[in-house]
Amino acid sequence: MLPWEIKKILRNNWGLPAVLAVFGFWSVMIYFAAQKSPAQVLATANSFWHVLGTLSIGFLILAMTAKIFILDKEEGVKEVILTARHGRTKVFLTRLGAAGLCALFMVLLLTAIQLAGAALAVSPGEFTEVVRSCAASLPYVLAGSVLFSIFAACVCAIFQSHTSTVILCGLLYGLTFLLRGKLLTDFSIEWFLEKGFFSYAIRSNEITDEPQLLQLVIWYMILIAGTVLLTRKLQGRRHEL
Amino acid sequence: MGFSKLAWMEGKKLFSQRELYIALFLCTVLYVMSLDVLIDSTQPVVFWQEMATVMPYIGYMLIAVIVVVGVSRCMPFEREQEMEELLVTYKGGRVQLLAVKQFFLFLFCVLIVLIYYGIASLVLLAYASPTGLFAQMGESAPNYVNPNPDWIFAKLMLLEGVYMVLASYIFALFVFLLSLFIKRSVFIMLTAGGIFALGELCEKYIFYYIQTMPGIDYLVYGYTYGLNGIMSFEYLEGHVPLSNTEVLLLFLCLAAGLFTLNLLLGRRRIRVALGN
Repeated sequence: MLPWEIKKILRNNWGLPAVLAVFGFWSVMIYFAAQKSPAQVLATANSFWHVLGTLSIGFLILAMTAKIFILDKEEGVKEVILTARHGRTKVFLTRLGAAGLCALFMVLLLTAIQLAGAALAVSPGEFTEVVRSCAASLPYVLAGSVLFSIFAACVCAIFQSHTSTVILCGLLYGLTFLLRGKLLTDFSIEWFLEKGFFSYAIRSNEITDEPQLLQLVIWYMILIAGTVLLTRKLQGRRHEL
Repeated sequence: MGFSKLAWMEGKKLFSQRELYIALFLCTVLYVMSLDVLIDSTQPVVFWQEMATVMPYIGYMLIAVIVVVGVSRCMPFEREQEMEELLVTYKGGRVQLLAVKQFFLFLFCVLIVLIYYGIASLVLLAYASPTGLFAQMGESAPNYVNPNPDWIFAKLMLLEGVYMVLASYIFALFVFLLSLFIKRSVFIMLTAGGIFALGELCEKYIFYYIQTMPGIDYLVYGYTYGLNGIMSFEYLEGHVPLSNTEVLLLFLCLAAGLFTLNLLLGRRRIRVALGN
């Protein structure tokens, strides 16, 4: 069942154009950084996840992985799926697994794009530095992406609407780019809005020096556990489990 | 069904969207928080000065989000409710329906702009004394969207309000145009939102990396004269060689052009769909 769900996610028409667009943007940025100075190339190569990578993975997760949680309804086969032989819980958990795996795959794909772009413009010594920096940030990016894909999946299952999921998760995800500076008092509402919805982890440039990292990890766990439990509860009420 | 009744029905359809309220709630929270940041607590708050600054500072972005969410489902609503075939049999014809939809979008833009100015005034009243606000409207308005120092706050606010309504309506008509080519509302939303976000991303991050590119000036012109420039008050900030009246006239012409284009394309599309 898992390969079937993964196939459904990857069959989405928006994946390839989005990845090609990221590749195009990244090439342009690296090329023009190379026109300035080698130091600029290195800085640009290390900054992939700060803006471009974060926005790309957010888009891919919302457009592709979250969609399988509404696909049954859109294709008019929801009632058939609800009669699943091994139980609806298994269907839900398999889909969560598929969403997580696809998010993992997308992160690796985008990392490959980052390294490919960097390899074309930096010297071998500098490339090793880029790889080291990339490896240091990869655990945060992977964890953030997988958690965000699960969060988006649960929101989609709760609202039974892809549009609502895109708006809600998209705005919460994008807040990290909008809330800066004066707003950041530890554990204030603004702090949670800026750092609490996974994009802060995926950006990975500040989380490595985050003094409240443990508290942030606990918050992520609470958020994910709470969302999954709420989804199960609501699905139970709607007789979908 | 008369024009007004049809407009009322379209309004009901638009405001029945759950997504609109989610976006409105989140954007309003963000807007209030941004207003809080905008106000410098060490300086006395000049109410109309802050009111004139808030829309070019962050208000336009949030209005763009609301417009994208609201308009994205305007066209696909009938299809997603599986009643598109029924509409083909509508006595008034599709052109009238498209005209009503676009007319209601104007009212929607007016409403959203008023709501956001209303929220700003409520928040700012918590910082500024309400006494003497009317007298303050007659004072000179030093503001970066206004190159003319002789202007008073009343005139500036009027210009800004009309500009924002027209700019958001042009953006709404652009999203409507997209919805004639993309079937599902969620992808209209992602495309329109992506185009707007891409412009902002270019202006805030990518232009920095590509400063040395030979054609960078054209890209900057693309931002200044494009949809992002229209929404972000670039036309009033002295980057465009047009007077304020000319800018408003240009926007009216743009809106009328998009309105007509949507009517023509929408009419043509249904003929193709019917095999006519």
